[in-house]
Amino acid sequence: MHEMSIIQSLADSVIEHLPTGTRAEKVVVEVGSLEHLDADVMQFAWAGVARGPLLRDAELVVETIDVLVGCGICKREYSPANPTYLVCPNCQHARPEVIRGWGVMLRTIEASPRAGHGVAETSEAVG
Amino acid sequence: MSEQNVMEIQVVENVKKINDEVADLNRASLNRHGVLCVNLMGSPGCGKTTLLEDTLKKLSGAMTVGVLTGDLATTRDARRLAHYTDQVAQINTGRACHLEANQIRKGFDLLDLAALDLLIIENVGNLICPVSWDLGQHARVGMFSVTEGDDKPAKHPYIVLASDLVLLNKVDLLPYVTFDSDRFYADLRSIRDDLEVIQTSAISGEGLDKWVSWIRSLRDI
Repeated sequence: MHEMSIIQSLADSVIEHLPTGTRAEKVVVEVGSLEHLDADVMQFAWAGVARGPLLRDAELVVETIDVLVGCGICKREYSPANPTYLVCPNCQHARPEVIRGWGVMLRTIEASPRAGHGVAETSEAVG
Repeated sequence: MSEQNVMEIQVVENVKKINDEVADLNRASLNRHGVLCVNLMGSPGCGKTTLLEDTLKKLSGAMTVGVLTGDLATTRDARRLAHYTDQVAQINTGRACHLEANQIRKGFDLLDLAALDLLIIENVGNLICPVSWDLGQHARVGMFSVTEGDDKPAKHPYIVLASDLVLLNKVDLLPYVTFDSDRFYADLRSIRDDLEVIQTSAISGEGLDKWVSWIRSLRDI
């Protein structure tokens, strides 16, 4: 539901981390599946936001991170298939402590030299 | 572009870090002033503002309570609550469906934090987005009402997962609406079997003392 603001923040972070004279080729972001974020809507938002010279043409890869919870009673860790049923398969209590599944994390950026900039520039890099 | 010109940069950065950092600052400010902060989340029309009117009445004289109330466009909630406390400010979010930490930060400037014992944040009416945004609160309360139907915990498991307490409001209407309490509780318990639920009604007054005691018990921790 708030994909656009997340993508705007993501774009800001990518630009902040790009070495001088490079542009992004590929951006990998991990999205916990407890977040209300839809990968298709994120792609749509990315297409709208990533229009400047540093991000244009960069591929966005959205990797969904499955939920992992620890049982508050028997400590068994399990990945529930369905967020509406978090009962522990071992002890049948529903005391999930979320280990993984919240959060949006920028993981990696693939960058290449920009035409007209000094870093590792070769004739084939131009254009 | 040749492949060897592509460099991979490992980042590992929380995309919501700005919100989360401001939320931590908010929590630090609240702690410094000894203010307990509760983030109340629920659907439009579930009765959040009415519950807060009753809460302010009940706590009058016992605790100094401030309210930051979120809404897209109007100041109606703040005006209603201003009858019971002068420490109330409306946050208009424009088109946004939830409150974010920086809005709360700005809201602090409209209140006298040093004078407060309790700050209640009334989130924008929405069962979905508020769950994903830390505001710096100490506790989150998810609110449902019987008129919304018994299927809301199953349809909105994330708010159940993220809440420290659930309120089931408008229980005075149970005789008049189709609401299967067993189903509501079974769905809720399959997500969190230890989650406390308080049934409330502004009309009959049921549960209001329990709710206020719950808040006061947090204050003692």
